[in-house]
Amino acid sequence: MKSIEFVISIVFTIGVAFVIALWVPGTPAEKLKLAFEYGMLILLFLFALLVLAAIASGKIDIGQLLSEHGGGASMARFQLLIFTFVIGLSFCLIVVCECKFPDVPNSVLALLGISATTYGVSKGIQAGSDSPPKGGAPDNTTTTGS
Amino acid sequence: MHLPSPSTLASWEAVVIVAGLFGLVCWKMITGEISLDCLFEGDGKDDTGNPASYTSAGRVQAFGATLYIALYYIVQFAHDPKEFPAIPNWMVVTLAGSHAIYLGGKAQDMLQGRLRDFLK
Repeated sequence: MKSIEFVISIVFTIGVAFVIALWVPGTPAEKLKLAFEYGMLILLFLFALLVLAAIASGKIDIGQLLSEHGGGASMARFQLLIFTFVIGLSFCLIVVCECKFPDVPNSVLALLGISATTYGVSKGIQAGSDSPPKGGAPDNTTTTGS
Repeated sequence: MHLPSPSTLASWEAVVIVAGLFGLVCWKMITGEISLDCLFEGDGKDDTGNPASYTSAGRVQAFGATLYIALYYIVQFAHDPKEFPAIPNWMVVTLAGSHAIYLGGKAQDMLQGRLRDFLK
């Protein structure tokens, strides 16, 4: 437990769980269940916020998110990123609106499948080639990708 | 004390996290921390075997098709945010074709050296 943010998240979660267990009406079993559910939800949310904060501050570096082996941005990574976010965000919004797990149409699955397959095949082509770095400056990463 | 149900809270948390991550990635793209350099540049080589700098038509058309379909999806979803939008078959086929052209061009550019060496 090196990070102070991590400790604060746990303490805050325990505090909220205590408040819910004490002040929410219901039987002791119901209170315990609610306190656990809300506690876990808040803890997961705070951990996700910690990750987002680390990305924003640069502690987690996502600068190479779209870079392919040898430098330069990759179209395959870019299109996968676009489709993942667009479909993922719409999925979350549908869940908020309808309060149920939505039916995902085949066309949307096909869209994601094509996108992910393109990324995979592109990565395979990149790994199978002996191409020197593109765009001038070679990077020192060991991963291959496109 | 009135609390939202756990499922409502969880779905809102998911929206905040995914939207936050999306916003962060977009922000880093705009500020240049996530580099988009050479996005349209092909993978071909010149006669000496060094990377050639040229704009790849395959990448440009794949970019156009991706943006068009993503925008179409967003507009359709904005009209009715209670269900996934229906995407016409021709659009899925167009995307597959566009990406096949991109991958074909990439494979040709990147593997032709190996093929040449193999055939020698």
